[in-house]
Amino acid sequence: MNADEALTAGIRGEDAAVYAYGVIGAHLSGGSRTRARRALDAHRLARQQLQDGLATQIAVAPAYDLPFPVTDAASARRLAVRVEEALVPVYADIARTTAADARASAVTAAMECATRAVSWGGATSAFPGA
Amino acid sequence: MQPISRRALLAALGSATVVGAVAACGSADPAAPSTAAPSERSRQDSANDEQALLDAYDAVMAAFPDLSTALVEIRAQHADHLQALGGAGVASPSFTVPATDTAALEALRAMERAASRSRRTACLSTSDADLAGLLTFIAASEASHAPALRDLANA
Repeated sequence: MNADEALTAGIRGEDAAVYAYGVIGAHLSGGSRTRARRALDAHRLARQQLQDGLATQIAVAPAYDLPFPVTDAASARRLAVRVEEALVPVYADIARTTAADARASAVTAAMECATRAVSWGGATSAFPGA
Repeated sequence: MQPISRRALLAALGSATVVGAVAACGSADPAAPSTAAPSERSRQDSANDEQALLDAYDAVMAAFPDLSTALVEIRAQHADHLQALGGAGVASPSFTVPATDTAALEALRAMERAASRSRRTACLSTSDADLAGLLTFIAASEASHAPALRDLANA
């Protein structure tokens, strides 16, 4: 895997996360909904920053099939955990294949994703998402 | 019928190379001569830090046995980190256990936050791609320990 492939996977992953948080936020209220909104903003920004690092515009899916039905706050949180955990290996790939600023952003993003996963109720892990 | 462009969410998030990267680092011979001095320093500093974290968790669990059940899992994750880094870490300053369990959890939380920042710095200074990937996982894991410890303190 080279840097362009890793960054492309990052854009696709962040796009999936943005889509997921649209669904997640709709099933939450109060402070949880605010947190989901902030997470959505963070993933949208991350998608844009990854795209800015590539010469070509990466095509993304218009919609995604969720891994399980999201019908209430509990399933919404479960999806948030899955999405955040799944992004950590994506960012580890970016860190492996890039250097300097791109790598720094990738490690920070991985830290934030793993932290959000635990904040949404996920279990801690030695190698999140791996 | 679904439009063909619709994708499975987790497939879009899928990544296959990283488990191999973690395994590759874990199997590295710690005694092998390093090809890149900064990378070896990144690895050794990180291993030393993991040993310091293990010692701190052991000290807190010894002083507050009631916390052991909750902390043993996080401690095991640091042991996994140390092993993946090639083992053989040397903790320098000894950890002083605070007087209360709440203060002890806060001290561990501060250590985890500092550790994740140090792993990030080490990741940026290594020229070893697989080590950079491994340090990303460890930085992420340690950053995520902070909210887990906060929840314990508030429990």
